[in-house]
This record gives sequence, structure tokens and C-alpha cells, in this order.
Amino acid sequence: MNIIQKHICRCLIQKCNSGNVPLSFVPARQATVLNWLLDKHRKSQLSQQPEKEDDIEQETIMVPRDYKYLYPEFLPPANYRHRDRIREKLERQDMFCRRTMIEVPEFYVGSILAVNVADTYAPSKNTRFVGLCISRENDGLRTNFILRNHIDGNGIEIKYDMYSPLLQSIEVLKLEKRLDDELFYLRDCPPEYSTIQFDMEPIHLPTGSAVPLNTIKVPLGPRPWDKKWDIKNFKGLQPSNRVLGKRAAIRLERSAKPWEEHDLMKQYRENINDEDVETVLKEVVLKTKKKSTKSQRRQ
Amino acid sequence: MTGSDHIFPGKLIAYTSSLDLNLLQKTLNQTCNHFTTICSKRLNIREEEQCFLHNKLFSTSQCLMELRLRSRVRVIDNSPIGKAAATAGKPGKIMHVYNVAAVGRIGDKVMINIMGQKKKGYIVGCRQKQKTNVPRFDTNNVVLVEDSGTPTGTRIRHPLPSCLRQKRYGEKHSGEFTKILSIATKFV
Amino acid sequence: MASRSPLVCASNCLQNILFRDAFTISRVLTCYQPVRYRKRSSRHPEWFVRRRVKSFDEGLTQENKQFIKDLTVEQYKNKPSPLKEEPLERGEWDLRTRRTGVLALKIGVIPQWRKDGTKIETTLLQIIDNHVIRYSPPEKFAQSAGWKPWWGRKYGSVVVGALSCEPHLFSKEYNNLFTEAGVPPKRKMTRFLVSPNAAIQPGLPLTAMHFRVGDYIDAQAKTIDYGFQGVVKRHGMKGGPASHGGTKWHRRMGGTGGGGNMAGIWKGKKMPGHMGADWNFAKGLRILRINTKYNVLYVTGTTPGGNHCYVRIMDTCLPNRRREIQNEPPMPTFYPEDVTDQIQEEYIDETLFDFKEPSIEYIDEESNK
Repeated sequence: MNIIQKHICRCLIQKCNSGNVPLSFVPARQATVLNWLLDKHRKSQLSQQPEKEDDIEQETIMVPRDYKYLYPEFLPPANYRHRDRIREKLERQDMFCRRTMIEVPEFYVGSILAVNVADTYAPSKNTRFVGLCISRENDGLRTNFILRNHIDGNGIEIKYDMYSPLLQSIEVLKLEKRLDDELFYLRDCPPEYSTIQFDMEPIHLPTGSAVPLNTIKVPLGPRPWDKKWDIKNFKGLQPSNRVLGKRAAIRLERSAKPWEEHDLMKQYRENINDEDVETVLKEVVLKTKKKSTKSQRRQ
Repeated sequence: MTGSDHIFPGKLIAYTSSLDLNLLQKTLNQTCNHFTTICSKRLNIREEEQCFLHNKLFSTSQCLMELRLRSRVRVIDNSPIGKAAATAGKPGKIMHVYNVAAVGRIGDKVMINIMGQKKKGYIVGCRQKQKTNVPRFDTNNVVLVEDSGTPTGTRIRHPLPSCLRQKRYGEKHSGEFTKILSIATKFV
Repeated sequence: MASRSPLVCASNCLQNILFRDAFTISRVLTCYQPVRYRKRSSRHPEWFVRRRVKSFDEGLTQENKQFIKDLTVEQYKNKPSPLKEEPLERGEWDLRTRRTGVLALKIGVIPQWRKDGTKIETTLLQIIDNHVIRYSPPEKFAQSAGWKPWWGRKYGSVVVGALSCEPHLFSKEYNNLFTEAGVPPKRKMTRFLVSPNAAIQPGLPLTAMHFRVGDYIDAQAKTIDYGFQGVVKRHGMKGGPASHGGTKWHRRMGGTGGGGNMAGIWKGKKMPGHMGADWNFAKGLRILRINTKYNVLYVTGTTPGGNHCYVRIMDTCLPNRRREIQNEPPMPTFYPEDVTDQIQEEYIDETLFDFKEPSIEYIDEESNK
């Protein structure tokens, strides 16, 4: 160890002691303020109006385990560059306000929904669409979901913003889960797997029962396909009988990444800190509690 | 004539070095014959290939899913020419988009080559990615229109997107669009 | 050149020696090409005060460190405010006034909806701990070191600082800059040009209420630093084909220029180089929403720079978006004494959808008639 290395190590250790930064952390190249430093400034006693700490952080509330999957859009993005504590809080406020006006039910990818949207061009100023939920994306006010249906020989998909004020109501006709997170492969499957009748009656589950898992395996239609579905290891797809050529087989071998399952660093980067998840979900629990007590009073 | 070793120039040079002129002449004749046979075979294959590609729905702009020139469309009204094209397995191709960008979107006018005829039509439903609350179809749908502006079919048994009922489409194409909307049965 | 006789070469050398001075002088005089300068540099001008000092470990215990922290907080809280001693007169607003801006931080981009149902992207800008640190009138400002002649002599300057820190982080000279204002030293400072009727007393806090809902603003910030980039990313050139015989010709620049009379590479030819980290404007952004609790502005569109970068916000210079005579802004800034009733937590524009309202429903006009 030469003198320069020693000096660098000492500086890093000093910095870690002052700001609680892990040793491996390399600050961004951009001329920006880092997250922990900004939060320090917001709460410091030297500022004009220091921000008070939330009561929610100190309170001891038990968060149910399934809340992480029930309210996925409340969880902030995993990339630390897109994160900010205050922005997330303000965004959540808007979402809770909207949820008081419209009831957003519990649903997953694979369940059947009916959606009412305000439409200026329709004579009744309102349109209703029934379909299978294929995907559920993004977080915050940006969340959207896609419904798919097959009407008169036409496969139709419509994307809806979940917190758009044009949405009048969301109704769950059949609560279900599928084996995959995305069902885009239904585009190239036979139409009977995505046809849903508009006058379908809602199927109610008995209270307290778990959400049923649909383990159906869908066959693929004839080629050409939109994407190479058979290569992508979907659990809800039947294995196709397509014979790969020599070059395609070599390409498949090269593109395979078997180490990704065991890549701990990748998992760390793609997921959020458990403490952050708890602080967010505590707020969700409190807000949903208030709502439920209100509805009880009305009864 | 299966031996391909006649073609290599290295061999030719080897022959010339030995200065056997008779042999050289022979080999040259052989190579000429070989080329002619290959060319004739190749031509035959080409014709087959063209048909093959045509039936395979070959597209160069598939990742964008844009409606450009020579992209195939499906006629959804009950006009006889549309039905004939569907049964023959020869979908219509776009010849021209009446548009500055030359990319067809929902509500754009289009000239189509269908069953060897030149027809005009309107794009009604796209496979391309759409905005929120606007439907995305699995096929590129078109409704045919005569030169006078009246639709060739009498009924449309397929759903149309609701955003087509906007005023701007009616104003842009001077009432041709309202005639199409009047024969439609279902909106999504 | 090789075929030249040695005599000619010798004569050339002689000429060079004899007329060297004469040539050089003429060259300087006839040089019409602009001098090449660095567009962006990390070095500050000479008149900048040194900010950082070398830190060394004093071996203090945690308790002692906490004691020093508490002492500094007390020191700045009990300081007599400079505002009470000699308050400046508040000027009146007219169409030609230039008010100060504020120094905000960009904290993200989120969607919002208008009342007619259209979706818009809004940028959130938080104003944290802004104070006026110095005001210099036009005559004094024109004599100062950083003054540029093209600014004119009718504007004074206001220095605004953001994010207050503990004084032991900085040098003594830097900390002395804040004695006039009586505020703790700031992490970042900027200067705004100000007309004399918008003069501000140093030490005044600036909040989000400096602006109003429906105003148009300009946002200036440093763009994202992309480093050394090629021609396709930096200038949006087309590059070459991916296949069809494109060997080593995928992301390259085309020709650099013609031959003949105009031969050579011209000045300003777009080439690879450093991209980003450059000052940029986003003009004419409308304020749609103000949160007074956290001092956050919701602004239409996007501003330059990444997340958590500093943004200079000021009133627009666009002629068709300026405010009218009836719509008088708070001069020189917002004073809490001016408002009789209590300040609301949120102000929302008329066109923007409030999430507390019920969802939008279109009314059939024909049936109502």
C-alpha cells in the first residue's frame, strides 16, 4: 500500500462516517445533489422551515404480506436516479385522492375486467369494454393496464391509465391469476383463448378464500408470429413443435444467460430496499383503514 | 456436370502452365456449359420464390408495424372484391397513402391494389401501437370506397374504433367518412 | 519541394530571418478567424472566492461534534435580523420590470390531466431554503468584476443562495459572504439581473409563493453530461446501413466538405466531441400547480438536466406570454403580511384537473336543449 492509496482510504472512511454512505458507492458523474444529502438539507435545523419527520415512520403498524402484490403501483421505481422522497409522497397523495372517488378493485394479470370510460364521440358519452387483463405496467400516476378481447374475428387490445379521470368504473368479472406476468403471447394463439362475451356475469368468490391460480397451458397458432414466443420460456405456453435450424440453435445457445438466476447484484438493483417498502405500505394501510371505517359508519 | 472444380481459376492456371491447349479448350467449354445450366435453374427457382414470399406475408417494416407502401391490408366490408381477395388468399396492397408522412394511421385515405384493380379506401383499425383508450387491432383493416365517395360495400360486420366519430375526419374528407360510419354496426 | 535547389531554400530561410517580425505583425492584424475558446470549463473565474478548505481529522468525539452542531444552530437562530434595521422601499410593478428568480431543484416528472381529459407531463421543481444574499444597484454592479458590457447599465444584480450548510465545511472567505444577509452559508449561489425598482433587502427568504398559478416562467439548467460522444448521438446524423455490405460504416460521419475553391474543413463542422453539461433554456413553461407545504412548483413540459439538478427559474422573456397590467405579481417578492387570509396548502390552475373532484363526465349538449 503506497501513500496515495492510504490517503484515499482514509478520505473514504471519513466520508462514510459523516454521511452513512456504503464504501462501494460511487457518486454520479452529473452535477446533481445526491439523495441522502438532499434529505439531510430538508430536515436540517439550519434551514428556514425544517421538514418534520412523519408520524408514520415511528408508528408500529403490521403490514400484511400480500399488500406488496395487492398495491404494486405504490412502490417507487428501483432506479435510485429516478427516486425522490417528496415527489413520491405528493404522487401518492394524488393517488389516494383518486381512490376515494373511484373504487379500484383487486385484480391481477389474467383476471377478466369490465371498464367504463367517458367518451365524447359516443352518443351515450360512455363506452364499456370487457376483456382479459394482459399486462399491468409502471408505477405511480403512470400505471396502466391492457385489456384484450376477440370480437367478430378481430383481436382488440385497449390500454387504460389507471388514475386517469376519464375512467368511470372498474369492475372485476372473474378474479384469477395466470402462470406468467405478461400474456402478450395470446396475440398469436387461437382466438378462443381470448374471447370473452360482453354480457358475462360476474363470478363471486366466497369471502376469505385465496385467489385461484389458472394453470391453463395455451397452444400457439401457426407461424408467422409477432415474436419468438417458444424461445422465451413462458410457463403458460404449450411447448411448440417448431424445429430450430442449425444457426438458430447456435444463436439460442449464445443468447442464453443461465447465471442471471443466481445474480445477487442484479436482484439488488431491480428491487427496492425493504425499509422503503414498509414505509410506503404503512401509509397505504393507514389510508385504506380510514376508508373502511367511513364505509362502516355509513352502514 | 456436378464437379465444381472446373470453375476454380487456380486449376485453370495449372492447366495453362502445362501448355496443353486441347485440355484447356475442353475445360473452358465445360465451365461455360456449367454456368448456363446454373442460370437456367436459378431462373426457375426465382419464379417459385416470388410466389413463396408472396404467400408468406413478407414484410420489412414488421418491427414498426407501420402501414407503408406495399403493406398488406384486410378488407372488412361486404364488397364482392374484398371477399374474392380473401378467398383467393391475395390480400390488397397499399399503393399510395394520401398523407405527407406516407405512413398510414387510423382514418387516413389510401389507394389499394386488389385483385389487379386500383381501389381507394380508408384505414379503419391498425396493428401499430396506439394511445390510451384507443383500440389496437390484430390486423390492418380497410373499408373500400368508390371514386365518387360512396362505400362499395353495404354493411360492415366488424367493430370500428370509436375515435373515428371525431368531427375532424368528417370535415377533412368532405362527408365521405360519414357514409362509412352510417353502414357500421359496432363501435369499440 | 524535394526538387527545389538548395539556393532557393537558403534564400527562403534568409527571408524568414529578415522579415520575421514584419510577417508576424501583419499576421496578427489580418487574422479574421475567431479565437478558439473552451465552451465549458470546470475552472472558475479568478475573482471567485475559494470555497473549500483542506479538511483534517481533529480527533473529536461524537459528543463534541454534536455540541458544535447545536452551537452553530443557536448562533444563527439568535442572530439579529438585518431586515429590521434599514428596510428598502418596495417598488411598484410596471411592464418593464425584471424581478429576481429562484434557485430550485428538479425532483421528477409525473403526468397530470386537464379538465377536458387530456394527459400532460409536468416537471416538479422544489425550492429549498432560498435566501437573498446580496443586492447591488446598477452603478455598483457595473464596476464589479463579473460584469459584462452587453448586459447594459440599467440592471442591478441579486445573489440568491440555496441549501444552507454548517460553516465548518467551507473556507473563511466564503463564509464571510453571508454576514451581510445574516444567514448560514449556502451550498449553491446564483446571480439574477434585476431592474432597480425590484430591489430586495438581503436576508429575505424566497418561497414558491414568489410565483402564482398561471404564470409563465423560463427554466435554465445544465444538461445531462453524456461525455465524449459520436456524431450520431451528438448531432443526430444518420450513420450508415446496418447490413447490405456496410463494413465498418455504421455510426460514422459522412463527408467533411467539398474540394475546389472552398476546400478544407470549415469552422463549426459538426464532429464527435464532448456532449452535454452545457447551460440550456426551456422557455414559456406554465405553472399549473403550487404546493406551499413543500414549496413545489408543477410546471408544464420538461426542463433541461437530470433528476436533482439545480434549475434557475425566472419570469419569461417571451413577449406574448408576459403578464398583463392587471395581473400584478408580488413585488419584489411575496411577503406573508400582504395576505389577510390564511395561505392554502395547494393552488391549482383552472384548466388542471383536481384529484379531489369526481371523475370527468361529458354532457350531451343536444339532449339538454
